Amino acid sequence: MMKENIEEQDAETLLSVKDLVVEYTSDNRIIHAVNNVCFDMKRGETLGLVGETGAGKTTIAKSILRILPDPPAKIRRGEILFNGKDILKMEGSELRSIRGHKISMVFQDPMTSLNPVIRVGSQIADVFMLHRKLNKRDAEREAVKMLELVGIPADRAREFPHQFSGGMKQRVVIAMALACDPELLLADEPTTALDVTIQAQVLNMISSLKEEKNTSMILITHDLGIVAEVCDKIAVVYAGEIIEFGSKEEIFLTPSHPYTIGLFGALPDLDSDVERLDPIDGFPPDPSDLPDGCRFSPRCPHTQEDCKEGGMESVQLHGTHTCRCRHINRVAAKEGSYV
Amino acid sequence: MYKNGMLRNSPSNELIKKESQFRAIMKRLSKNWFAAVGLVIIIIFIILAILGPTFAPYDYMEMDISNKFAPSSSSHLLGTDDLGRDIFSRLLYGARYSLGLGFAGQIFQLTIGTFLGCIAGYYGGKSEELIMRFCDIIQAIPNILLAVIVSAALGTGFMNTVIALGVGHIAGSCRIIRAQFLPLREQEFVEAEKSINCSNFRVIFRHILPNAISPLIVITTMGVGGCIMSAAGLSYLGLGVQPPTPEWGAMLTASREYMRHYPNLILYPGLCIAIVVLALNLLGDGLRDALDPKLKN
Amino acid sequence: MIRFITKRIILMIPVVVIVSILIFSIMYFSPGDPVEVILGGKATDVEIAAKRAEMGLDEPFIVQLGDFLYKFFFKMDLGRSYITQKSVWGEIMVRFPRTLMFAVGCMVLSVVVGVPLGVTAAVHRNTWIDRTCMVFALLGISLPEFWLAMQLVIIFALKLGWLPAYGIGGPQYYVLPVIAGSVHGIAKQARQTRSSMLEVIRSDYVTTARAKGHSETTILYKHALPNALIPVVQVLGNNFAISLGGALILENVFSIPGIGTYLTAGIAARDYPIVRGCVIFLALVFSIIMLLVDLAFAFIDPRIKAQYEKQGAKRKATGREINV
Repeated sequence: MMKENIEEQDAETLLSVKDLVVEYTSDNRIIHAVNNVCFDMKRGETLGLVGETGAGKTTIAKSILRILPDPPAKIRRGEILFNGKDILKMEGSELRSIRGHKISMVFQDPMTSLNPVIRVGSQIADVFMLHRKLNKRDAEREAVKMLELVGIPADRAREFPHQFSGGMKQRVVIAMALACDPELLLADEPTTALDVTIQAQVLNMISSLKEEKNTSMILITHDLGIVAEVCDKIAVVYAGEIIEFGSKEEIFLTPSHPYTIGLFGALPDLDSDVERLDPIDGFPPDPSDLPDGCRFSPRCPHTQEDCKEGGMESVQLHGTHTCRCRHINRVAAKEGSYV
Repeated sequence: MYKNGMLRNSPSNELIKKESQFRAIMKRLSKNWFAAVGLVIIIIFIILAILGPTFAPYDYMEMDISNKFAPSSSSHLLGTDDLGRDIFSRLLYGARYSLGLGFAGQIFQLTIGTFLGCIAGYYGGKSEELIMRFCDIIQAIPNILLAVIVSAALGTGFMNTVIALGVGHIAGSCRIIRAQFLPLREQEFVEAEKSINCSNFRVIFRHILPNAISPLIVITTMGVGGCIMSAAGLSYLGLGVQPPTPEWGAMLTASREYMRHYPNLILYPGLCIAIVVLALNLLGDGLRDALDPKLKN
Repeated sequence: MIRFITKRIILMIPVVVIVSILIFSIMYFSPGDPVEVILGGKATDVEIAAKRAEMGLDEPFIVQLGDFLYKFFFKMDLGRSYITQKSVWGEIMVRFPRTLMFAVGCMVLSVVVGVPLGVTAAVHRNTWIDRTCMVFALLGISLPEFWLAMQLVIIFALKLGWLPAYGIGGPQYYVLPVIAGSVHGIAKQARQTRSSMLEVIRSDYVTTARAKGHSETTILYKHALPNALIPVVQVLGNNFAISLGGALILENVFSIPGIGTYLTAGIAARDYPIVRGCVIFLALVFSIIMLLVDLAFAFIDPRIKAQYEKQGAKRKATGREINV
């Protein structure tokens, strides 16, 4: 279990995830998607969930809203405390009053996130009618305002999703998510499916909207560049676990887990003369057949005998920095980084 | 298929993928109980159709008027019909006709449909237009209607009925095969060139067949059931195959006037049709699920 | 949109023309001589030749074809029955309403019973409700219609005497036929709706709707169902064809004097004008229904509507927006 950092335990904590375990059942195999994940978020913070595809980042986000497909997904145990109340224990109507209202989500693929047979304006107006209890006319007026906020002209509100480009669709989805001033925004790779030029636009828009309303955000991405720009805290996810957690500075300046170090090593460095990229050897483990002990040890260049046994505890480093590795000192010495 | 944003299809990679796909499909299929049951039933009926008449207690024409409408007994397992013929034996003989019509009809339409589809897909242009319009025309007439008119024109008899049954389904196979050519056209042939060299030719067919087999197999399996039922329907209308041939549909037609007093004359042939078609549908469903498991749940 | 409708109607004409030519030719080249059938086996050659000239059957093929097409398209005349000499078109007009009522009844029942069945099965997937529904559906498409019809007649008409076994009259005469004819349609519709519902329930936009805080009921009926019904409408046209085909046979089982019985009587008597007329007429009806279904599409799926409106030029193989 992750050792709490006592200073963070105050009323500023918006979200607190404790020991989350999520499994998928498929063809009689159990896929361990999320394994004992713990982290906290303060109000106004932006947390970056970083990791390879399939690490479990989206599952974590969807668990917070409890919108995992059930079957085959099952939240086995854990607590997700939002403003002190456990989401996993909430009943229907309470949960629904949070979704789209206090916590909302932007999904990865804009092409399929919108309902093809409902007009775009109505899809946004929906949220107003549900949570602000507005009547249809007022809701549609507010919806148009949201569209303009994200840069879509008002006269397009009556159009259908297929009439918009990918980037505009994503902006609609963002408008939908931010409509009711959520306290927490879950953004699942919101720009991955978009062109690079549009990516910058969309990110800027999310950032400025966030600033205006002091929205907290969990940003899921595998792009370290975006993380560096936008996030305050970073959680590195591997095989369903958070193997390293800390502030942006802590992670970027003093990465401690061999995987994190490997991630940065895989980035091309403009300053130095690098002939080849340095990707991490091997592939992520099969989530239905996870290795014992440290999940990263099969690929880890610094692995020791005892890495293959027992559960890996999180080790406290400076400040908010934690890391799931027993040998960080040795690793640091070898890699030449500071702990 | 798109890979890393690039349109790239190395033929050898495709083949390796196809082989392991095939194994995965077979594995999924074998786990499906219903499909297995369906397959077993069909195989049993096919064996009965081929070997049955040799073991049938009576010839299907053998009449015994003094013993007509007999109920089930040890000498006549399912009783006798209006002319004293043994129903059980007639059903066995009839299996040949009914199953034969079903399978033959599908083989017929598959052959022609595939041929036309290949021409349309490969050569494109005018021939494709022509063939597609031809398919449109065929599909503009409801299937049974087409079978009726072709059967009426050609007359009764086994081969004529095979053609009548198959004609309506040609368009389906043709379109499927042709559709396989469409994505290839954009990849390999930028202009509609006539000079296509031989290696491309072989590559094309190695691409087409594996992709086309999946939907074709499902359609054909279900189609056999459809043909068997249409054959029975045709017999009922006085077309197709007629009594005294013991095709199951013809048996139903012949017994119609006696249904008030001797309903089992109608029961058994109808039951046979129902069981076989059910088995084919089970198998067809199983195949479709095995070929695209995402659709299952 | 109007342009599209007009274009489709215009395109329908050559199809109907070609179908007519096809049917005419098939009948023309089929073995058997109608004149001999009409006059009986004992007619002399002179009588046969005279009769043939009288009926216009000694003219060359093209002339006969042209004459037929002209009469059909410009005078709505499908010729006269060889045997009764009555106008084929007139007879069809009398009989068609019955067939139509029957086919439409089957289709309505298919949708009204089949769609809710499919939705229920999808919503309760993998429970006993789902399995029961699907077992019934499987049986439904496997049982031969006319056999089922006969069994129904045995039970409800002959043994219980609740409903009439044949003929027409009041609505009770249509009960058994429509039930028998709908079983296939209901089963097909249920299976189709179920699978399309399951696909839609898994889609991303349903997850989005859930993430917005909608209740499960709203998601089901406002977000999922409209999308799931699109493929259902797609097969409506097809199902109508099947209903028509079923009508052919079932009219014979129940002795309903509709087009089905007319056609089969014509076939049995080798009365070509009847056979030609019925088949061509039904093909025409079918084409119209398909057009209507395609139009209904546009009202339901805005993507299709946009596509129709764009269609001025020929459809290219690449240009399909929907297959993203």
